[in-house]
Amino acid sequence: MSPLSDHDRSGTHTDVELRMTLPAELAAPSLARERLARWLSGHKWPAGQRDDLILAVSEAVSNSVEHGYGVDHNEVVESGGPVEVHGIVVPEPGGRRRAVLTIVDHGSWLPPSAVRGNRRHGLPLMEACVEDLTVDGTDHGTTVVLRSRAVPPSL
Amino acid sequence: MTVRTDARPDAVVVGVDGEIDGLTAPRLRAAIDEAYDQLDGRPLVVDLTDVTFLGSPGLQVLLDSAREAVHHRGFETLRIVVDHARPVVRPIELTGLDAVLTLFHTVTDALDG
Repeated sequence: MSPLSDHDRSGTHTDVELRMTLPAELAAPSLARERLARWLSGHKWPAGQRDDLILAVSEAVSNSVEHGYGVDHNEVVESGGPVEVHGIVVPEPGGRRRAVLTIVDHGSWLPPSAVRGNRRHGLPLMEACVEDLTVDGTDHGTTVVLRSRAVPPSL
Repeated sequence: MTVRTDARPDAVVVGVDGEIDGLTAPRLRAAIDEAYDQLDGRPLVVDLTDVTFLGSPGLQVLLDSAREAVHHRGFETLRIVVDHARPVVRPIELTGLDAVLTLFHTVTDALDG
């Protein structure tokens, strides 16, 4: 059975890729967590690694909403645009797999040194939860790529 | 997320259920602030046993609330209850907050101090 098969033995459909477009709202991280949890379960991702990825993606989406688009509890901000989340499962030699998750916003980027509060914990958390984290910030938005640790084949 | 405050004779216990993220963390902060105002010398316990997700906004609330404790009359360290649930323990450990916060495994342990 190919690790990229889109049907498990029970016949339940699991999309090979994950794609979601989220509104720039404070509820976006929660929506992202729910969809990602279902997708990773469909791919039979080990529970510990699944929790780590959910935490990392939640933090990335939260950064996009709160820092990229400037949405917070105290003021109403005109919708700045969406947060896009894309996920794929990449097979490795020996049947192991990694998930690569990309979170894109079109808001403004602030270097971590310019940000106080939650972001101080957010970036280290994301880093600790994945094998590799890249953050590409420009004037036109931020792209975060999270590459998971390798997990065993789905049986 | 739901927050329930239980004012007992020996402590005020703030029990949290569900997900603590950027959307819900301010409500937890408000509940803790209210609890601080009614302590009257009793310790404050925050019970995270039923929390299913803890993100950085929640960590920040715990840290800020723990620091806030010193400003209250009859200062007592904020006592936080976490069991072995990975989604709660993991972010606390990854950020090193387990060295800063006062943690207990059960509410009973927390009440015993």
